[in-house]
Amino acid sequence: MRRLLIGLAASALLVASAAYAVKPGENLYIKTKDAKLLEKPDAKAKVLGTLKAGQEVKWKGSDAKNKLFHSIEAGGKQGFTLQQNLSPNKPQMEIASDDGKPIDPQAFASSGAATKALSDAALTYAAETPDAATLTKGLLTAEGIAKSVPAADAQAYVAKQTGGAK
Amino acid sequence: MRLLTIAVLAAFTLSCAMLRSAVPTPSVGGAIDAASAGVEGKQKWDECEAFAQKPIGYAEESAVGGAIALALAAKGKGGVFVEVAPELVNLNPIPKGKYDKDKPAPGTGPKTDLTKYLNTLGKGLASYSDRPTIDWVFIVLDNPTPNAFSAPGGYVFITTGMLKSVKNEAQLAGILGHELGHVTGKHALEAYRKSKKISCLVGYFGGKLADGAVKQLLGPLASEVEAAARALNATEVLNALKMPVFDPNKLSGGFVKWLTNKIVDSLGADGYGEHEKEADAVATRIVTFAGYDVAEYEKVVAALPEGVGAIKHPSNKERLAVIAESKAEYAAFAEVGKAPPVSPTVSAAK
Repeated sequence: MRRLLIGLAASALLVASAAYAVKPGENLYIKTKDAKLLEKPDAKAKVLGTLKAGQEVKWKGSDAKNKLFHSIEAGGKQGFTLQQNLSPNKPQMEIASDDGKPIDPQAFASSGAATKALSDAALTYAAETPDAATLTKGLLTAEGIAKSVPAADAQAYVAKQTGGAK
Repeated sequence: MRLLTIAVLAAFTLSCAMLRSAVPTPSVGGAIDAASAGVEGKQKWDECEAFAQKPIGYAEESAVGGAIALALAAKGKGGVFVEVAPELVNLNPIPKGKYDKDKPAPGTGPKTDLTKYLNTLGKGLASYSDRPTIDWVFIVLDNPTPNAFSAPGGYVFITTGMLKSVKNEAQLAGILGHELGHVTGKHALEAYRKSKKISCLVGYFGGKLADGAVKQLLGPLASEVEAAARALNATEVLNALKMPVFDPNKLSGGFVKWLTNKIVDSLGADGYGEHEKEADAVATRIVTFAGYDVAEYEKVVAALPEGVGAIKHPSNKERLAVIAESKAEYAAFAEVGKAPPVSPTVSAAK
């Protein structure tokens, strides 16, 4: 039993040591519309430029004193931005129209195709299934509530909760 | 207390077990025996495979996603935990197309406030995902069993039972992040693709299922095609195949019901398997970059009961290893993780 536990612990260490870590120079993505590129790791520092949502940037590392700020290189400029402006995920392309052509998330957002309704298929299913029918009004109400929350407010809320309010 | 926590969180495992499927693969269904099926049979099979693997646009995804959302939500007891929008109260039935663009104005009350909070947190977290601009909707279900699940198109459900169990917003962020991972990974769409293929096979072979060569061609899918042939109208299926873009909104009630139930049953039987780990990795990335403490999500996963239900599920140890790996990958971003309390609006669920 003791050997087994030691073996498991050793395996865990091997897994941990093999784990990949993001290194300076690798790419991250800007998630916030009109995020600021700052001269220093300080929200009141001079603004060097505005970053676009989905923009690819080179990550240089977190600031030694204020871990909320990260050094990045974007569009040939070097500066700092808040962690809340960064995402590790390259945005997926979305198919917005019948032509099947993928477009980037920002174009998708402004295409109008990103707005879904409780679909006719859902209403058809509800008509066939009494248990589901009772849920339609609640689901549609929730869609109305979701729509009443602007994306910018949602992002600002999370930033405020985690200490990165701009 | 720990036992209580474990019991309370049990359904998080069950919920995910409900929703497990496989990632899109180059092929769905059984092997082809071209010699016995004949050239025409193989062509039809290939057509059905191509039909199933066609790129799925957001309109198609959210059309079927809405029906799946309703079907999944209807599996539990209790309705949507919200004050119904005033304009909907006496609207029977809801006319198709009425809310395609506009949405009903929210009502007022503590349940509405809770749903607004959940959508604020959820949409904030979704901005860190790789599908930041789809139309995310977060819904509370009035059900004491702790549970969370999702449907294509951006529907994320959480029960009042689950809301009661979370200790802080970082834990809630982890649970929502996991469901975001299933939607961004399009895990449920594989079951949809398989169902599309089966319906297509019904269209082409529904009247020839007694033929041995056809049975051989259908291979492991034969019994599923036979069952589907009893529920579907082959002529309607063939007409649907002619649509430039397959549109679930234009299908008959019988077709939509079969398609939706087939997907939901498939997810219930097969689950998401290894994709639970993928969703955990997504959750870890989202929670980390948003600035929440990933250790709180680890506590949620560590407290899940093992071996519940018939569906094979990655062990907690495997899942925690994935989270640890993802955490190590983004260690430079995990130093500022916070675990603030949940909004007071959550008390409405208690």
